[in-house]
Amino acid sequence: MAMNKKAMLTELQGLIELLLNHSLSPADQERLQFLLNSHPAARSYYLDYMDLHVQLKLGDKKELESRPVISDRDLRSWGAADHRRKLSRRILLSTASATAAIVFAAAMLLLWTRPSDNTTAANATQLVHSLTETAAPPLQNSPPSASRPAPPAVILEEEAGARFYHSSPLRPGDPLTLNQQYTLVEGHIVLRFSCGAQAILDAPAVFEPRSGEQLFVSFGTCSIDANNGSERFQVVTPSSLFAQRDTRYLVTVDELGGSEVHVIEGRISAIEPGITGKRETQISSGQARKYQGGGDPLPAAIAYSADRYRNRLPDRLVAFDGERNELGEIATLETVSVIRRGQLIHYSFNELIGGDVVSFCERGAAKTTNFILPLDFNGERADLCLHDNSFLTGILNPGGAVHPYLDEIQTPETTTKSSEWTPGMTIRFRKPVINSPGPDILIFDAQTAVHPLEGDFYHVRPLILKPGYSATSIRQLDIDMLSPASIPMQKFILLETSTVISSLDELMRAPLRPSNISINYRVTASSVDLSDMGLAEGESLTEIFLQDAMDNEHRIDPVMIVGLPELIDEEKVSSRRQSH
Amino acid sequence: MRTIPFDDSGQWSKTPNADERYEEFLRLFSKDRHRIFAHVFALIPHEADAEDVFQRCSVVLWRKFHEFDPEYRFLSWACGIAVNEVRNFLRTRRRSRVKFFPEPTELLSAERLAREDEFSERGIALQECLERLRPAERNLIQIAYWEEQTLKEFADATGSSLQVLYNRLSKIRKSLFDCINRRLSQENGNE
Repeated sequence: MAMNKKAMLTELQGLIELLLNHSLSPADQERLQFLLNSHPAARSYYLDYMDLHVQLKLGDKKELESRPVISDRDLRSWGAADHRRKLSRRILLSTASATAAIVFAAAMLLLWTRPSDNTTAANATQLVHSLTETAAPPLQNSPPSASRPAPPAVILEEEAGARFYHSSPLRPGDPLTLNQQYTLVEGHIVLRFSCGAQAILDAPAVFEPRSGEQLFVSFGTCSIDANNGSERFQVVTPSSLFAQRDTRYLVTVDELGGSEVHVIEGRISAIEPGITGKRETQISSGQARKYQGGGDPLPAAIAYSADRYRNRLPDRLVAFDGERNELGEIATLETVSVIRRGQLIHYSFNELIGGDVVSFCERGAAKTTNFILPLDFNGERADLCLHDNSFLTGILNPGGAVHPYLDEIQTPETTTKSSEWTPGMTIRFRKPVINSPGPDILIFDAQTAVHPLEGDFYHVRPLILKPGYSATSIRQLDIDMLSPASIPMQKFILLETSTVISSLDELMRAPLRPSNISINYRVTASSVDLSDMGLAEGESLTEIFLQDAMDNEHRIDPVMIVGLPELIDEEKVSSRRQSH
Repeated sequence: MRTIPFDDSGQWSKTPNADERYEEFLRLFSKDRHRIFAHVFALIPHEADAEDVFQRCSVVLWRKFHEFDPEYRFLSWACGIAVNEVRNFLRTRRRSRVKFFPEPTELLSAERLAREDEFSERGIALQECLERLRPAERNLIQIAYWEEQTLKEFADATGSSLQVLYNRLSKIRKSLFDCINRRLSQENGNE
């Protein structure tokens, strides 16, 4: 249901006025942000309105424009205060201790600070009186809630790597179109219905939001949480309709329209269209049924399983940021934001555990581009192996294998036979990385749009496989080329060797030639959970071995590998979350 | 690449060549300073914060002026630098939920930059609309925007209700906004 544009703009205007009058509540902030996210017309209106405010603040523009541009002599003598001008206290303070360049900039500020008019406090009371006498009735400061249009029936509340087939990308906060079929081909999404219910869909899934209280699922897996009073919420499948009160349950729908339901909490009613009319069955917590449709045969009791039920999206890296130039291109890492144990946590670079490259073998790789370095790099070649905060330094294109290597990794430290060295690279962390819930290691990769947009896949394992340990393959990035969280990189130089490199020592000595970079790169990122390599929670490791998955001609280009600090307990998570 | 001459202490030294650059910067900056500030304010809608960022941006613009290619539009280049300063500011401040900072910064910035010429027209229309305000309305605009004291200080000094003043100001702004849109619509219709 598209929101009425006029009503939306009326609401928006009220929110902007609250903002300008310093009266915007947190709920209003969220609503204003939602409108800006959802409607191009809202952004345009916002920009127009804010421009009006600034134009008024700048005062009589014509008068300002007619004032001569400040001269060099004015600048030099500007230390003396001009008391005839009414300058804001901020500007005076900021210029008093400025350098010559800042004085210049501050002087520029003078040009848009309006001189005073003659209204004095003495006639102020009279002025207020005249205002209240001649003015129309005052506006409501806060837009009355009754006049606000209803919120969208269904919005995308959250997503993780979501891709839709033949429909525009959706971002958190976007409303979904009712009665439109969506096909989720990758990732996970959280839908929030206006009745309060939440549905988490895992790809692949085909679904159709029908109202603020009803979701039609024609294929896929859907976890429902109607545990907050959203008692009218219904899930419809080709074979049945599930209605409930205060429940959590899982629905899966197969290609033939048959559906399974597993009730995690509460009790639901399942209604089937039968040959002799509707048939209703009750399913309670801990029970599961399978429905074939058509009312016959009877729904079969099946083994209950809560394993696939999701009450949140997977733990993952959601964002990172760092020093950028005026084009928005990034050079260094400053912060990362990860979800661990379902909670969003921010870490600064200094809290991360650095990883150095200690072995390298590219045998098996088709390309020999090995170094990335900044345009102004003046360090040693060996520095590029070491951990730093730069995305513009690193060793690229390690070798790999289609299947993860599960035998003992061979490096120059274990054998002198170069033919036995295992293709890949060893990363040694500067202190142990302790297995905590969610991501433990972050791997940032340089990627370009002419390479696979979903990223370079790789295998990773502990360097030494203890019993129970194994390799894991990363075939989905948390932040790939299509993710709005990927960030363009500043320009850099690539250096390539002319021969295939077998060891780090060889790489340090090989002749290099620069390679011209004419395309833009972005930093993408993935995360590794040590649990996926068989480590128990609280176990730690110091060395990992990374191999390209050799699934195409492109190799991984890791530009930074870091470990996350240990996540101690829920209390500390909460405390850290609140501090940000 | 052009370079800026600096003296031994690292300060910009005024050679004839530097004078020319300085004059050129002054000319360009003076022409677009309002638009740059408006650009910053759209992304940081809080006066003190926006002033701080604009001030930093002004310094950065001068420092980087040697990188500016005169074949490009100064305003676009300056706004690119301004957005970067905004981003640096927001990186630390956005985590605070006390203030509202609209997102996504880059999209809003790009949309504003694409319409800069239109904003110039809106500024001209505003002057005409201000002329049409009733004296009492214009006086409140004057107090709210052009006086050194804040509206709250004015309300305190006069014993009036700040909320009433806010409400009145909101109504006047809305009427100015509608007036601008009407005038631009008429002008476009007359073309």
